[in-house]
Amino acid sequence: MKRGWAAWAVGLACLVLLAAGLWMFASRRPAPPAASAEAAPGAAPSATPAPLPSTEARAVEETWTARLYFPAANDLLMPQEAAVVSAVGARARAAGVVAALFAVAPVAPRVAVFPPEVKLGKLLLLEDGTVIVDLRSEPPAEPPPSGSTVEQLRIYAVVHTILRNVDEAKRVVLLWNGVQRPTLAGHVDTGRPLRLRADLEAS
Amino acid sequence: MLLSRPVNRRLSFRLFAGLLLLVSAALRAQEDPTEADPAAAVVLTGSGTGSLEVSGAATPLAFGTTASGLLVELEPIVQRLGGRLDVGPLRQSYSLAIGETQLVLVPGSPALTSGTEIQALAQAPFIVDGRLLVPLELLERSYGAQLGVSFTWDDARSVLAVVRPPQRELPVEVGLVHLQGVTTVVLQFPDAPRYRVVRSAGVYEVVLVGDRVVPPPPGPRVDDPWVRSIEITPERIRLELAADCAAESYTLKSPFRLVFDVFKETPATAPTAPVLPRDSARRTIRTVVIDPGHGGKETGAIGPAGSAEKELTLLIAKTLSARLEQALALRTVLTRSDDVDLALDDRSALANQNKADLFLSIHLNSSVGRSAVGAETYFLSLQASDQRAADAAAVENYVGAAAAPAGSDDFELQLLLWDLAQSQHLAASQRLATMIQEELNRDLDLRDRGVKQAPFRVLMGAAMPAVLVELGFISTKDEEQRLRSPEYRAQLVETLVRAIGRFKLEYETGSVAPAGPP
Repeated sequence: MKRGWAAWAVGLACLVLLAAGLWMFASRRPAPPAASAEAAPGAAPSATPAPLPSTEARAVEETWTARLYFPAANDLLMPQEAAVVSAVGARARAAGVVAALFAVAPVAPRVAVFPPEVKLGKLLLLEDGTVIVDLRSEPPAEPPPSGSTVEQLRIYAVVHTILRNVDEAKRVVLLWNGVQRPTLAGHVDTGRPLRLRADLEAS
Repeated sequence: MLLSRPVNRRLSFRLFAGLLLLVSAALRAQEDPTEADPAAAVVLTGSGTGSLEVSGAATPLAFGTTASGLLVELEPIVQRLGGRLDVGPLRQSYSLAIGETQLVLVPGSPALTSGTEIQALAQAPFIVDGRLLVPLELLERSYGAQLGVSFTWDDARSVLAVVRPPQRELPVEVGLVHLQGVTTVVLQFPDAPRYRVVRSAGVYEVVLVGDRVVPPPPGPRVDDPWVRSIEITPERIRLELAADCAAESYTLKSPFRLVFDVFKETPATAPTAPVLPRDSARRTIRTVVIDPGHGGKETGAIGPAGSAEKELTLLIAKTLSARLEQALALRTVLTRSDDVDLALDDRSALANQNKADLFLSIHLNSSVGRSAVGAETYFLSLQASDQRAADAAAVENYVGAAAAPAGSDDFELQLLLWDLAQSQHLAASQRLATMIQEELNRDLDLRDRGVKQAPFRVLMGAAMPAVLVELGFISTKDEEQRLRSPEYRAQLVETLVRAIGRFKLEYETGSVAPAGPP
């Protein structure tokens, strides 16, 4: 009787395992964005697909070349081209470029926009062209402290990367861990929508 | 199988448990790490089922309380008051359609969008037990604005009552100013009206809901490149914009003001040199508010040797305060004299309360490069999309709008625009920034990083010439060492004293003060 129970248990577990394996195979997902950060410096970096909710992640994908704007050693934003794979649609493209901005290894003299614990949370594109970008730190923490130059470059790296690549996007609202703050590091007003600042781009 | 029965049973159990763990791990691996669980972010301090009362009839209503306040279930309210609640296609957001207005809300986010307007909520909506719970503020912004109703919560009975307040007649004052490429229209009310903003091509209408407007007696004068007309009737206020113009609206409190920033969607060009306002000879500089950047838990930039920006800016500000009183006989006020947290808006508010004539925010910079050196001085950019256009427009319009004697309409307008008052002082701020930068370059042989504009929060509310000066890069090893030296900081202070002395002379007399020692 007890041997029979053990056999049932093993059999049940095997069934569950088989079902889970089939399900994983059927809904195979793309690799996480961090993988593309390993691209060799100097090589044309390739961004992984934007981390999108399941319905959109399975939509038709497109591969396109984006200009990602990174802070550079000359305290300006410097573009770097990257191949981005995203679902079709303006919101997916916006999410794709921000995910790529955080995932792609910047080529010197460019540097990463935020420390690696900062990720793209949710991204919404409203009908009027306002993009709401929720930046998340994991674990939750205050935005990294900085002087005004670094703060401007971090904020506008996100803003320019979206607005220069997605025609439908007109302005960007930044949230930090789901909350719209007066500033991220004590200088730039993030309480209102942000637009392009040509003075921050390297010519 | 030669295992004994107990061993065999334990093995079976462990095998089963291990497989379950494996399956659990596989399932967790399937979760999207970027998808925050809205419910996980809220901690309820209380919850239950109360009731919704509309015209005496009650409906069950789930509610919850958090440290930030009350949340109530939205679905029953939509069923009783009308409208339609839909989940967004990506299941990230909800859209609430009331009449022709559609609002979008995102669980876990305090941003509420209504058409093209983004409103900040004090408290975010959340999903709890599969139900969408929203703060009362959201109900006021949605149903309150659309239907003219208000919501009151009876805590003892757990009842949310929907009432229609009596109609009010609210006088409105209209202010309009065009500066820096942006026309700002301010509609001031003695109390917050119930309204909604309806937008169509080139027209923005403030439609009163349940209240009525008392138009100002003479009617607003409109002579503006971006705003063609402002028509006021008891039911609505209609702004007609020029071609290719758009507007963003927001509200200010105490008194309640509904503000429209109107801007041309294609920028202009051609920079122009800064000048002081024509009535500068009638002004005096008596009080300077000095703002040591950051403080408290906000450290600002940290140098490679561990110096905190907040500490060095405080040292510089204290020395500057003493030297300005001594050398120029100015009254000085520090926004903070200790290592304390102080909100940016409170800093400019402190300057306004002290009727300061100048506001100077002291900062130290950080760079992504390792060798950045030099100083730079900022004044405010309201519409920083194109600096050249902003420079040109600021000068052109400031000069045109200056000279506003007390008692005139323009003087009243300046009072009305108190919260936007930095836009009245941009030319003077630019001039002060130029003088500070000149002195820093000349005296200390610093690398000239120039006068710049940025949308810095601390400058926005200042109703006087206001600048933010970055006195060096604390992130660069050599410059950090210099900034740690009391002698070098004293040099920086003397440079600032000279710049403020030059500005004071020019501002009060209208004469141009040359660079160098006075």
